Amino acid sequence: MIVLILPDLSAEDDLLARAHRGDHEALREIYTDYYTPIYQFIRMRTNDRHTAEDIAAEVFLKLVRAFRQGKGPRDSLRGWLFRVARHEIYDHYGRGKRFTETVLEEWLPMPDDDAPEAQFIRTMNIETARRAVLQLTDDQQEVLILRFGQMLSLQETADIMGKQVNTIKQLQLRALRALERVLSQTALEVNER
Amino acid sequence: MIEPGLVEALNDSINRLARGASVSDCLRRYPQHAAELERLLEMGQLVRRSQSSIEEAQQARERGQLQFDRALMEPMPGASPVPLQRLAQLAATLVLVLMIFASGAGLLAENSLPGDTLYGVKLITEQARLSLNPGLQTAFEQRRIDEAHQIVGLRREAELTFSGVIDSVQASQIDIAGLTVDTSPLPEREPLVPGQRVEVRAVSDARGRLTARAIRLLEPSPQTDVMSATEAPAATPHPTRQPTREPERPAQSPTVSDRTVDITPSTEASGCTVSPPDGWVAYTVQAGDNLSTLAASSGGSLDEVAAVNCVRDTRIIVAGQRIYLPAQPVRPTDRPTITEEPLRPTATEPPTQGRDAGGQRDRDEGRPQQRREPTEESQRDGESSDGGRGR
Repeated sequence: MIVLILPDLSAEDDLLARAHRGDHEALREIYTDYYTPIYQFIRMRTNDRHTAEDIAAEVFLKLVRAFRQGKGPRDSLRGWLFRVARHEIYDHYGRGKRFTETVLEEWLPMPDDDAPEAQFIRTMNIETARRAVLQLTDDQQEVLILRFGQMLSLQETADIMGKQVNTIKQLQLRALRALERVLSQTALEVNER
Repeated sequence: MIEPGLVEALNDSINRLARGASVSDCLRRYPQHAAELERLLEMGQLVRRSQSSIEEAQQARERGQLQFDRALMEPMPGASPVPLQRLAQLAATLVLVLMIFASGAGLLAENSLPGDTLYGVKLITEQARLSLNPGLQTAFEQRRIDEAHQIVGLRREAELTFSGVIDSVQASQIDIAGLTVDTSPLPEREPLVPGQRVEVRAVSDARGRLTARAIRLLEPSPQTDVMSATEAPAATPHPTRQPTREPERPAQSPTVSDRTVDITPSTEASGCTVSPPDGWVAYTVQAGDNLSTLAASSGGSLDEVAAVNCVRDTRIIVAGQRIYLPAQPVRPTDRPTITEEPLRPTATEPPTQGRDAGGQRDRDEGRPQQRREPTEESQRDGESSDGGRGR
């Protein structure tokens, strides 16, 4: 089970306050603490490690620049970061384009004690799942990654995507149904862990 | 048409899952939707599980660390205001400076060192003076170096920042501005080269040792534009990763002066390292100097001086350049006539005066390359005023 923990909100506010005061260390901590979620989001959306690294780097550079110009995020650091990440992805790829499956992904390393077949299935599922997600629309992908992948709140997701809360509620249902449709077209074994 | 009941049930379930509930918990809450809800939530879980691993993300983060740190090392004003506000800030600073001077604290602060209570006052005062007279930049840089020397001499623990030209480089330390800085904690990077002008952030310890926290290149090195090489080549296995978007290449930072004509003749190809023998002293070349005269008047041979300083073409030395000589050269009044110096004349003050006090006074403007000698002044200065400026 992949568990990702974003810093809690009070810690985030603290970091923001320090960053606004020009504290370099705070910015380093932000990079360390928030890099992974941002990377994962971008990675899911682009399905390419190197692009994800490049874009993630750009997001954090923009953060530094923003603070330097006195325009750093005031309210929600995570919101700012994900919003910028979203835009960077669109800048990079354009909206609505289906991402071509570029490099065949490496197989994830197998844990030792599992039976080889089970491992293969589990690995393939992940790959299949990723590609299936990429078949969805941009909005659908984002809502699923933010709500399930990053476990952001409804309001946070709405802010990041620039939509109403009710819209997000509808969107997440449609997205899940769409994903189900895509996946049901491929033989699938969902291994519950 | 989307059923409102399911929409709410789904949303609530997603929230619960995020808080650690299981899918079964959610199904129990909404038995009327259980069938579809189960499938939907499983889909969601699949999305979560199919994310890239934390390890992968961490590796990516580490690969990007260097670039991030570099971008960060540029000075960052807290909430840097728009130009108009900046004027207001400047005015406020000047008022503050006046008040400080009026209170006498300004003068007290003049000699303070990093870590002292009044050190902040000193820096504020410098900023204010700098904005009136940018020519003081070099002088203030020299102050940082002097302060570093003092801190080291006092065996004080402090954080130091200073800029200078690298004199020599060894495996895990560099010599710069007469100081030795341990560079081992620094991440892998482009190797430093003598002659490079860098900004060093370091900490001193109670044993007088300096350990680098960060080193930033201020100008391209004589042979390579280090900046473009970037991106910790060791870290990235992928040739396709292009530093095309190298974001603001911080090569020319606005705050540290690029005005200094600090050209070091090639220390490159031969891999020559400037390492003066014991007893040799540092000397800053002035307009009108030439190497043979300097050598002669300091008791050395031209060849030797050239070799020690890695000077390949002895005709090429530049005002502001720092070289080592066997001793302080005998002063200008005794110097043989210099041939081709249109620079000499009227404009600037006679060298002797200019020598002192790392440019506290505004005289410095005319000679931006003026640097202050470390300690040897007393020997040399026949007449002058080592001004009232204490250290």
